[in-house]
Amino acid sequence: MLTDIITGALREHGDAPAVADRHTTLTYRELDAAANRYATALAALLTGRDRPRVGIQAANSADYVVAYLAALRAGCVPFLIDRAAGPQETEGIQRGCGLDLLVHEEATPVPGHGTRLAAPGSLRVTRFPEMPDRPGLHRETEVCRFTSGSTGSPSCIEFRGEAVYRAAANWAEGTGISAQDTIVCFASLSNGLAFNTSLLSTFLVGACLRLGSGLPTAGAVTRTLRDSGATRLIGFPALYESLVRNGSGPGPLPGLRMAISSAAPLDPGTKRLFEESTGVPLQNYYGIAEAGPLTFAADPRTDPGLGQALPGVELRAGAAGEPGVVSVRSQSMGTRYLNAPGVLEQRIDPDGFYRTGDVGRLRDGSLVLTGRTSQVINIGGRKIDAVEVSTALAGAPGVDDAVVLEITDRHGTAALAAVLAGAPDLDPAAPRRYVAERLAPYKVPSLVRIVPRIPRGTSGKPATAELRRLFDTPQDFQ
Amino acid sequence: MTASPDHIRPHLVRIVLSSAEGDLTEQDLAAADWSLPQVSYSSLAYIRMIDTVENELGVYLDPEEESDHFETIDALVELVCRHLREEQAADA
Repeated sequence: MLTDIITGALREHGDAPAVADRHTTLTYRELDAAANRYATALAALLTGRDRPRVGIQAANSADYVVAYLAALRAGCVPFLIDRAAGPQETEGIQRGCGLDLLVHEEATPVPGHGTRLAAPGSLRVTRFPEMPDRPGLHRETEVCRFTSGSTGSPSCIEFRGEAVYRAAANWAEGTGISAQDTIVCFASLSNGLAFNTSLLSTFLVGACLRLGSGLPTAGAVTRTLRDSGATRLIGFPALYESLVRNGSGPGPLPGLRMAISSAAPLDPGTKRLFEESTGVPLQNYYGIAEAGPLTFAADPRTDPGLGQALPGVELRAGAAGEPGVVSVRSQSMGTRYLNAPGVLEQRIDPDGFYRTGDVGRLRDGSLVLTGRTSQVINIGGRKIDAVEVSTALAGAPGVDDAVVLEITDRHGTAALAAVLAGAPDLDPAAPRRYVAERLAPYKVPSLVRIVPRIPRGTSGKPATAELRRLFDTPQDFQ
Repeated sequence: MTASPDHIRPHLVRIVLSSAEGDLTEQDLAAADWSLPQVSYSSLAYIRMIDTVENELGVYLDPEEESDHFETIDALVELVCRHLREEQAADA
């Protein structure tokens, strides 16, 4: 289904610019042709395999988009994998989801049991042996993406083609994207923020997607915006913090009409300074990996919350004075977790509403978040499963026990911290290196404290207030 | 700003340390052969560091094209000095 929709969009918009990166700009016609060529190459590499599963793990680029569209066109199911995933994580995903092929960069730590093959474009391709006992895909699944999970490893969400299409179409309609837009996206395409706000939604309306890669520093973002004539900017809070770090903001950005940040907490001072400096409203995106984009504020400068439900979205939450768990029913809902059977279904009530981990209320129809029920850590828009990181830390030599928590660092920013139980002479750098060899860099705690034992309450839960106090005073690594 | 490595290096080390979340010391960096990945320097710290270099030294560091130079203090010093020399030559 997606293939037909995307092909229709590519052929409708012809010679308009479709996607660009630092070095390449492809019109819709060129993107269509490039995807065709790549699809032919992919099909030749996967002869005889049923609904081949193609992982894509790479930085944002025009070639990434070509590979994604080609995988769909070749009858494959693309799995969009965080580029930052560590070697152990990538191998776990490949084996747990039964990937046939991985499209990746030269530097990607590819599982060793794969075979490197020749492929067109700048990206590399590695093929893996067939796995007859791999988990079966739902018959309607067309795309898979990952969420941080809460049980020790990323969960793979299966999406129907209709759900992917509705997420994009509802976002485009609800936020008013038009063919005149140029959308600059610095969020990784594997992330829901980029996937839902930028990828397919851009192509449905004939707009242009300018992809940023690399760190979103103020200098890089400002240059990209000015060079591309951007009308929309998509990025994580760190991007906006960078833009105002000089104390005065980037100044007027002609043509820019809208800026969107992920739902990770955005410092109100950052938001105010950005808006005052640029005159551009800064919108908080609210979406859930499992349910797609959910709200939009027509004017974020006056909206009391995260905005109204997008088309195709129904929200339930508490009322004034009585916040409640936010539940959502959307047309863009994931079907299930490929590698965690039954877990997603357990979070959907009999009416089809998915229970998010957020608590909030509806005020004049706008969603106002007031807290969370889950313990997922959010560092700059990246969700981190504390169980996954503490399990990895506890496996390091000399570590008897580990607790991972989110703290506010000396810059006033959320940071990942760990308290480790071990001997006084345990070098905190060693367990950090141990984790760095296994998990994505952003899952390595920035701050570490060593204690003889983890203080726990009578129920066995870590005494987090006591643990947090360990970070009140900066310390050198012991 | 003088574009000599001896002058720039302590300046950059100070910026690198102050941009980290906390804890990181010059001794830690030295023990890691002045490698930022070896001390698991976070992406948020990198962004703060690059912003500060740009704001204090007035040189643009390109995260897309020059990230290979961000891995060690030595490479970073070389890159910043090169940019400073280029700017000084352009001004002359």
